[in-house]
Amino acid sequence: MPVSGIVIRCAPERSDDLARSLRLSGSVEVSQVLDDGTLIAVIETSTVDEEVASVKRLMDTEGVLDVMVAYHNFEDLIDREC
Amino acid sequence: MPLSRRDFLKASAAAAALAAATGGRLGATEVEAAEGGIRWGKAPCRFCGTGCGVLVGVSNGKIVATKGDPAAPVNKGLNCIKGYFLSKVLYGKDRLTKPLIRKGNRMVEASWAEEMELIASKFKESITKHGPDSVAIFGSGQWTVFEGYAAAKLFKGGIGTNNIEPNARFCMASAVTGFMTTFASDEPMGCYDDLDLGDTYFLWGANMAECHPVLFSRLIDNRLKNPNVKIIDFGTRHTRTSQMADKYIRFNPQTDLALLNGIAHIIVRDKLYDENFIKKHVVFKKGKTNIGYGLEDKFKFADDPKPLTFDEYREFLKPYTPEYVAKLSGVPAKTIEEVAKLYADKSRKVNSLWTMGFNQHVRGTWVNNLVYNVHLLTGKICKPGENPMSLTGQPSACGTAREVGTFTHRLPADMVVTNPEHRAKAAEIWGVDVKKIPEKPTYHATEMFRALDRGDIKVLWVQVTNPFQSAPNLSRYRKGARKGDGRFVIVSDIYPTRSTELADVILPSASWVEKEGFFGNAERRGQQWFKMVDPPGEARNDLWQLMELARRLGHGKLFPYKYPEKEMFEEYRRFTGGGKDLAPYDAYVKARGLRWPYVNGKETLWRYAEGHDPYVKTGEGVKFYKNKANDGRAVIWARPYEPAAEVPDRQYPFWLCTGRVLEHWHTGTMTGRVPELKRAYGAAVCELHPEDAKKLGIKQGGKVKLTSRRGSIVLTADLRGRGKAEKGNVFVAFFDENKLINELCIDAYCPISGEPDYKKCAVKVEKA
Repeated sequence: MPVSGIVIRCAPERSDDLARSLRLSGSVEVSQVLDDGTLIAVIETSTVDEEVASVKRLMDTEGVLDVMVAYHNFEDLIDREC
Repeated sequence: MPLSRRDFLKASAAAAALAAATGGRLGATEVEAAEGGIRWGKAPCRFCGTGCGVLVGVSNGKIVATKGDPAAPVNKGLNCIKGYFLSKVLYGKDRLTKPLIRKGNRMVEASWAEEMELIASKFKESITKHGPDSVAIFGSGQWTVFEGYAAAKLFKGGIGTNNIEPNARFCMASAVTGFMTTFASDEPMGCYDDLDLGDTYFLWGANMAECHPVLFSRLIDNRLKNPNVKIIDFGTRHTRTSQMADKYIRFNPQTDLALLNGIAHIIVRDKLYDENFIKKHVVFKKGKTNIGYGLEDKFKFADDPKPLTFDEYREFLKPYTPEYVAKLSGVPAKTIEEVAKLYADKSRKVNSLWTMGFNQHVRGTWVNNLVYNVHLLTGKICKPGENPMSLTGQPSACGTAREVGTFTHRLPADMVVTNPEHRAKAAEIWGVDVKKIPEKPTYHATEMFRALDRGDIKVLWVQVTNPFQSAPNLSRYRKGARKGDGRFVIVSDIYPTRSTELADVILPSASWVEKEGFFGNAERRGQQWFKMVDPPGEARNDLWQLMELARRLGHGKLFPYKYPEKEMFEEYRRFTGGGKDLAPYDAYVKARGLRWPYVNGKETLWRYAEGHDPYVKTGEGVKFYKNKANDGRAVIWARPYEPAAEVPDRQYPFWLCTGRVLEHWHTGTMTGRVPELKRAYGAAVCELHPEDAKKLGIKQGGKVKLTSRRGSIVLTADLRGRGKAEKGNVFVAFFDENKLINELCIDAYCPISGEPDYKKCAVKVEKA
């Protein structure tokens, strides 16, 4: 199950709402909301496909300015996919 | 995955994200706690010219993790969405692992010895029968510096031909000639720090949010911290960048030329220029006009620069009134006035950013000149936070193609084959007879493929690029490659592509961290990396392939190295200096890249600026010291508006523009191997305006047929995607190997740079 750490930048006034809705959705774990409104989150899915889909959904969410990837571990997929 | 390991990795992921978001102030110690069994190494990203730093995690000989390098100044720990696929692009199921030789319609496996011997024999045969100019190499802005240098040395100093061109001719050549004609030296004066320090950013035909996302992220970050920051997006298509800009200004294709002259007109009319700066640092010139479009084979052009006075330049600008430019461009006169005043606003730190909209343009050199004109008129240049910045597409179009000089007319470090002193220097460093290096350029890229089609080039080696998908007017060149009659095409790549399918010989190659490498990014930052994993099967790195051919052709003495990468770099470094200085190789090993000129242990952030550039003396302020012919001054060029090579008419009433999307890199040879990306954005679509679609009876998701004078294609219509076409325009991305949109593109090019115009040709659009 790949794991990635992402940084979500949004309009500061949107960050708390966004964090709340992400926590409810279950697909993206928000670990922290910084003072400037940046969200620190972890995505954990069954496949990289689902990771990417999650990030793209986030990017298309109103109020989200960008989503960047800080960390990506896919060690348990290597032997399966390669 | 065991629970505790998963929890550990999730904690590492969160810590890395926190460290990246806070510039390392928080989370750093957790990140540094090693994830057991993973060994990390640094490398620049394999994809675009931004040059983000990546840490690659290896376990048991395979890449198992990547993270944004928190120590990398370019991206400070963050990667764009393509960061998910960096390593996956190496592990596609159809990775090339064995040398292959064509036998009839089949490719059969061969040994490296057999294959290299065949290649060498073809080179020898062709050189003997037809001369050294019958063989050629087409390389890449994705070549490492070592590969590009070896190719240039072998072909120019060994074989004795200038038949070397990179695919960067298709993307950055106009930027180069823009720099050379304005400043007499290639590459930007500013750096990425300008994205953090400025407050006004004009983007010209550059979809940064998708094509340079990390750089765009820095602009957004700047704007979040400083509400005064303005981002203005000039485009012919509404993109994610337009959505996030403060203002989107739509203009008619090709009229960027008129717009920039219009802005200059207002600046001069209202005396908003910096008179002192102009007096000290600028000369005015004009060149030829009606310069053609390169549509005929062997088209030749030589400019004829003549000096102008400021008054003559003022006269030249007179016709470009806001009203005239508004009529031509579709941009309201009031907007043009506002933009000009914003450019000239003394209280604002103004930057211009551009890529393919300006470069892939039949007047690409001119439009690059014109954006510099505005910055030179206002003196908004060579200052921290205030610069024109040409953004680069490929990861080493700067570092390899442009700096090493893997072009027909070039030698390293801005030097040219036509200059006898430059040839003498190259001969001395390479240890060859100066007569070996030919003094005349041969073919730029489009002409090289024309020459293959005609049979003037018989043997062509393609490395790290896919020209039989990316060349314009593609059908002609695809057919040309398979005409036989002594033609022999060699392709080195990592996957089967639309180019390997036309090859006589395919060489399986190593990629990225499967070899030691060096790239140079858009802000003059050279970045080194070590090999971290083995390439699969029998794949070998392109540098080895070049040296092996050299040996078999009797030019082995050109490569007498025990440690080729480092020794060649130090040899190449001897060309640099006088403003293009590179650091010793070991300095790059330690650093997260270094920006040249590198002098006395220090990198240079802002060229030509006193206090920043060591070649500018105290009291000089700004000095364009590479432009010795113009006494250290930059050139303001009087370049007129001229129409595109092919404009919409009754038969072909739409503009076709081609380009990239976020998910896919170039011709999709790597990103197309990632199943997730194929699913997310599998096929190229035709972006069409809903009103145009309605008139044509085309619905969202319906089939549409595009036809130009050169070819035809059927695509799915997208009326409401992330990119939105303007009325009278369609846009198609060129990544899809099943939809060769470049068959429709015209192979007209800028006569000065040789770069084709992929952004403008005429098509008809029909319901299919």
